[in-house]
Amino acid sequence: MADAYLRIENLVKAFSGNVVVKGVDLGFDKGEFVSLLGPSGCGKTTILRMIAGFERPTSGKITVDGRDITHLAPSQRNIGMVFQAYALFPNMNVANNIAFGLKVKGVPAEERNARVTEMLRLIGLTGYEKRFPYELSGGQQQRVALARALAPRPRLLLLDEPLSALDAKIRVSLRGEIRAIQRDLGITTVFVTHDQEEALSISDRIVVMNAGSVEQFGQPFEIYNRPTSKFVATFVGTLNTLTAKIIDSAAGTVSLGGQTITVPALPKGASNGSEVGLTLRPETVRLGPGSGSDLALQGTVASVDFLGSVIRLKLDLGGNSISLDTFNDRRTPPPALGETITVSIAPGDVLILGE
Amino acid sequence: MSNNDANTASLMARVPGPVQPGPGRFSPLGFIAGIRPTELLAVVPFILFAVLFLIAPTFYVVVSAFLDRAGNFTLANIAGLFSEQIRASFWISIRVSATSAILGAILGLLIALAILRGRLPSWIRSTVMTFSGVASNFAGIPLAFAFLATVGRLGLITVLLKFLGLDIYRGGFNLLSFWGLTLTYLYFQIPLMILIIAPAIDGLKKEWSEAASTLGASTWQFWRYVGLPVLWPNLLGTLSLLFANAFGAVATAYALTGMSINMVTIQLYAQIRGDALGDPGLGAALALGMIVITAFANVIYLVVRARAERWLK
Amino acid sequence: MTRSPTAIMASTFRLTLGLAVALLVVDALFRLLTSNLDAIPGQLSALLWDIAYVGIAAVALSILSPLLTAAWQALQPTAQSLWAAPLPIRRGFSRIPWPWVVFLIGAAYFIIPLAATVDFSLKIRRGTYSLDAYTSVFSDPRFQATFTYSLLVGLATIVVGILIVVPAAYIVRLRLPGLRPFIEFVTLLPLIIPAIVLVFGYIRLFNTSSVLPLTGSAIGTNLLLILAYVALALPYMYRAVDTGLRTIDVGTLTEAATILGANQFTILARVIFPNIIVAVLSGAFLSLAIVIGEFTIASLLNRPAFGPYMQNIGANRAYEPAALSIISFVFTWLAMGMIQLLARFAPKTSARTD
Ligand SMILES: Nc1ncnc2c1ncn2[C@@H]1O[C@H](COP(=O)(O)OP(=O)(O)OP(=O)(O)O)[C@@H](O)[C@H]1O
Ligand SMILES: [Mg+2]
Repeated sequence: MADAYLRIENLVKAFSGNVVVKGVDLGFDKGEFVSLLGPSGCGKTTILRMIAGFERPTSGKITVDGRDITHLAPSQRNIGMVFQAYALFPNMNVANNIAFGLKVKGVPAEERNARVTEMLRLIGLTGYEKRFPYELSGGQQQRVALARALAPRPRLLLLDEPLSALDAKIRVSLRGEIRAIQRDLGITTVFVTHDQEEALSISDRIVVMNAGSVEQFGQPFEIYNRPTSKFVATFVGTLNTLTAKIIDSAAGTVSLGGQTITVPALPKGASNGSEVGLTLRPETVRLGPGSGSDLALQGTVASVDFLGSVIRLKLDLGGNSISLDTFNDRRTPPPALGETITVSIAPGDVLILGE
Repeated sequence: MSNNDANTASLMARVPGPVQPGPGRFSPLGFIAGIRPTELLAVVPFILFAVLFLIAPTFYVVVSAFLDRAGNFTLANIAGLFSEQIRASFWISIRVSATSAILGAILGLLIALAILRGRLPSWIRSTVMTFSGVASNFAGIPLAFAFLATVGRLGLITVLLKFLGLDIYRGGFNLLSFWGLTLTYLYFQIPLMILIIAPAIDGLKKEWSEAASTLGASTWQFWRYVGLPVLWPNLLGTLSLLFANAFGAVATAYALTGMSINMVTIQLYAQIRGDALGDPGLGAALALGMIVITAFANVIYLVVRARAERWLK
Repeated sequence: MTRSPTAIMASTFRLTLGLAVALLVVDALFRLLTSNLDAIPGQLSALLWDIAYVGIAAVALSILSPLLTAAWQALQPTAQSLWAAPLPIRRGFSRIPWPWVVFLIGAAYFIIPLAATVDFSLKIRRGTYSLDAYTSVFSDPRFQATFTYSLLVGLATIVVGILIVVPAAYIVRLRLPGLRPFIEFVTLLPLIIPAIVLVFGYIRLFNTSSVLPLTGSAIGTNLLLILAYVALALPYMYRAVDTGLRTIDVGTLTEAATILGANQFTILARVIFPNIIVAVLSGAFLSLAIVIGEFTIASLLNRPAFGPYMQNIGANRAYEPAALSIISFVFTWLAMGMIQLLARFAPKTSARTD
């Protein structure tokens, strides 16, 4: 972390007294693809705009490659940015849009043209040089915007929800393309989104934010499987919460549905006999009684959602309700509504989260 | 007939609410089929009015410019336009209109940019817009009076400056001159420009300037390569409108200068007033000349705009 | 990065050439627009000299540019990369708060004439401020008569304008979109053809010996004045009404009313009109502001209107014109203020998203 490429130190931003970024510390490595993920209004865009230089931090420091850029003008930061609404210059064709950054830096025409050809190949739009933005689809415009941002070889690439104006299919294919190009160029990238699936699928690491603060910073696998707070766990993925009674807090045993199980870690200072919330991901609940130390629970099927490769069941456990995912298997039809079935949980999959 | 965006824009500016460009082509026969009597009743007064009070008079003026008193074809009226005095009157009118239009457009654009993009307090913006609505309609006689009271021979500023030792009239200034008229015309030209161009400036997306600055462009480069080119068709259209606006103005110049300045509108005014004595054929020729010049200003605009059209959807 | 002297020369030449052309265009325009017809040949030769000067300057600057660049770089402290240099402090030119400067200069240009006029209008008595000029104007029977006349003509203009514009705009929107380009073209004509040209046509077309001898009688001339004003206000009236119609769903409203058994006229008068009244009134106040002090048409038709009266006072009195000017300004402001006020009551459009 000490030699992070992009470093944000104790960054604070207040808009007329209203603090929207509350002391954020982050360090991103060179060539890393990091997503800022969080609910609407949590300050993602504001952080990105401070990195780009459009907003002045109230306090704190931003360094790139060890150099302080906190007070540089945006035009002197050499940072590429892609906006949600494309923001292509309407009076320029594709080639001129892409060449703009080079042109204002005084790069000679031949070099600019070569770079434009190269960028068009990169985004797969060779032959579109002479088109104007209004003659392109949303996905194509966004790819041109990406090429325009990358053409001057920026030190950082910032993307603020670049896909949210596009429809679902293109969103998925374009995010793959963005990631591939980013890997190709090895450019450090910050990607803002409020779509958790998007963040999980393309990021090296994810910053989960809530109300102006960082909740958790880690790899997608870590964020999903070892969320450090209830907020992260519920915001990223679906979560079951079961209420259990603590039997012995020192030994980590609790009682659930009349059975005693041992769970990984109970919160400190929880008294015996008090209630505690156990959380688990739907895909960790298995059909059938399981084996060994697995906890078996009986319940009635309250709903069956057939999602294609996956079937999501909702079970009524008498007081608790639980969702579980099981793979589709055409030889065994899914349980019927109202049927009583047995499911099992491995105690190691249970998460106990503070608020 | 896809005439004049700026004129549409000026209306948009003066009247609240968004404006859409009119869709579709005009097919003169297509709409008549299947028309109902009540619908006819609704459009007939409008069409009748347009024909009688807009199209016929114009047509009449154009035709009678080529007729002598007996009703025979002649070019004598047109030839009469090339007399020393009338040529000079057209020239001074063109000069005042073009100068006040160009300066009005530049200054109006600067003020509009300052209030819309200069991070001034928001009350300034609304005050300036309201004031522009008033000042753009504050033309004619009262405007002339105001400038007489300000920089006339006894005007407040003239007297004040003389008191400070600067006699502007001895220094060559005269309200009843080219620069005096231009200074006065700017009082309605600038606000008109602000009203028309403000929506266009609002249409410049914030992201464009942000994108430009992340790409390393200075503010100047943004305006040079993006801002002004995007506004360009609007600017030109407004320019031709401001030109026509000044070119047709009679009252301000008349009240300011009486007959002492030889503007073409005042020539025409005098021709009409003294119709018994004056030469109606020459009057028609003057009017035709005015139509040709304002139409020419519009054609220049349309030609330039057509070349910028490519990226305008 | 260091560039070769020829590259520096080439880019400097391009830059100065661009600047020179811009300079010369402004120079030419200025020379053209400030000179009388007979002075133009002289100005043209002066312009040729200017071209020569500027050209020589551009070439000289380009040739010297490598030297100048080297000198400049020598004078700079060892250049750290831009990257490292914090640039929070804006220097020189860019430190001036330009928006404020522009705004204040503009404000001065617009406020000073008003202030001067107010001052002038109060100075009718020597050595002291008084409202006598206003008293004199308001107690002048001709002021009362002409102002009332113009107000009445203005109201008639509005009524006739509404009767002509509203049904046409409604039907065009509802059933005859094919007519739209024609109607829009017509409504733009008054902005292109000067009013004085139109009135010239009217006087000749509707004279006593024509089929429609409107100028033959006082009533006819009054009518002609009203119709001329309708033409003058047509662009604003039409646009206001059309904007109003766009904000309501004309088609659905009409269908709903038709199902309830209303006929076309009832629909227009009882359903559509009440919904666009605010827009129509905006157009009406704008028309009133344009028409009330109108001079050219009224004077050429010899009508006892407010515009010719003001002109007459201007030619014969010293201080009253300033008072009239202020009264007109206040009246215009009131009309515009009414439009602003009405805009608050206008139905909000869903089409406007930001
Ligand atoms: N210029 C501004 N002035 C005042 N408040 C602002 C400004 N910009 C943002 N805010 C406030 O700061 C908070 C964070 O905004 P921000 O745009 O960073 O959220 P976000 O995480 O990007 O949300 P979204 O996912 O909706 O884009 C919001 O409450 C917003 O209202
Ligand atoms: Mg955002």
